[in-house]
Amino acid sequence: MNKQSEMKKCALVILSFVVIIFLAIRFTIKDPRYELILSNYQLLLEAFFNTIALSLITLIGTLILGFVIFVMLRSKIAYLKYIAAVFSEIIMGTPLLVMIFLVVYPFGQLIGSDNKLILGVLAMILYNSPYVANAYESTAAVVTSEQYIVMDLYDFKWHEKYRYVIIPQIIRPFIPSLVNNLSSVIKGSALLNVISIPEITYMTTVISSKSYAFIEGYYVMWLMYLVVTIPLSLLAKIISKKFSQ
Amino acid sequence: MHIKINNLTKVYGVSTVIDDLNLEISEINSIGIIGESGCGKSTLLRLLSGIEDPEHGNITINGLSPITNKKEFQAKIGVVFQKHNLFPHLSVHDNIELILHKVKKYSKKECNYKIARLLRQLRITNEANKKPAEISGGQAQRASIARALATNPSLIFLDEPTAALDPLMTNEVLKAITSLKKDGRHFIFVTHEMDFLKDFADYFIFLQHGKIVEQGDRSCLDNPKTAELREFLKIY
Repeated sequence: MNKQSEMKKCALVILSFVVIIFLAIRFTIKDPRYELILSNYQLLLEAFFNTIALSLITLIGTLILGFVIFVMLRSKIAYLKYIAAVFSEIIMGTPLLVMIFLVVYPFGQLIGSDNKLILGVLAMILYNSPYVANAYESTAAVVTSEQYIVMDLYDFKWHEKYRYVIIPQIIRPFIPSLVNNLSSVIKGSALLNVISIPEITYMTTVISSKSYAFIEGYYVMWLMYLVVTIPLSLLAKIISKKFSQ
Repeated sequence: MHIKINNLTKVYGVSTVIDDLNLEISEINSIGIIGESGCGKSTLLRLLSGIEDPEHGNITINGLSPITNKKEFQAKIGVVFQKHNLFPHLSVHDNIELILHKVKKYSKKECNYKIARLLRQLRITNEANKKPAEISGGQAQRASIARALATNPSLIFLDEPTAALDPLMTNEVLKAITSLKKDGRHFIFVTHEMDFLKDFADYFIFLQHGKIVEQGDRSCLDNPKTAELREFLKIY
């Protein structure tokens, strides 16, 4: 009964927000011309899937680089630990937009590459990896200090510690933060429009510029992000709840 | 078993937990370390087993140092902790298999044979495929003893293995430990279970404020020389 009442309240709030958003979309613009944007649905769909693909590639790269940073931060070798710590501080102090420019232009020039797509994704991976390393670190707290004592006692090699004890225990609690991270990556990918990557923000900006329907373009862009990020957020909550039981 | 400790000192922050401790004993099978809570018993056991290193001093047990020959020394010992310290994501069987097969590289066949024998010995065969959270505290502690025995150690350290158990489970774990004595292993034991220890250990070390106040065979518990040990025995 209590749960039902909670669900009713929640549904009412969701409905209210849907109505507010609908009213905003419909009435904050005089004579809205959404058809000018939506008529390019093929380009929008392409941009939508480009965003998803870019974000998934970024997420995979981030998971790998984040894990390397996480392992380095816990290393007994002081140099490895400090390299990871200083690298993380620098990256976390750099705005994503600046990171994209730095990687695409000076770094791209340095390695002789002008592939903006690859360099853009690389910038996103670099930017997100320290945050993912932190997520690994906080979930690794599930492995108690006593377990490390046992591992040291039986002379586990470092890779045996990770393979047999640490990774199997952190996978489950890490999944919710992984889903949340994908959501952040998707939102962050909007900044790739500054280097002309055909993702959601870039494509809707181009379409709305051509048709002079700027506000309509922004509304469509916003809804496209919400279509992906809200289900991901709900998924993270469900997984988190399931694993905490 | 031969133990030699010289000027052993362990400091945590500003507190000296083991204070310039010296000891030499030989021809002893099992040692009981006793004393009030916070006197340094568990710290001494962790130093003797090489889990922690001292600030000063040397330890030699059966010709090996847990400080300078740590790996070689620890390959010959087993440790049972206050809590079972089993890996929570693995079943009882897999906890032991991880050590024997994956880390110590025993063959799968030899490993399975050993595990079956150990689980039978500790009467937890039916719990083999259960995870630590699915069995009782006493069963988990017996599984932890099975793991400690898996590598066939000649010396076993037991750090208050019944401290986290209720009286019924304490009894079942102590029975299991008693059954190990006939295997000819050596033991260094920290516990408050004085009745059990009187039967089990053949040498006692009484610690207070990180120092040995009294030591000797069972007779030292029957006729304590120091007022501190007399006081302690009144309580326990």
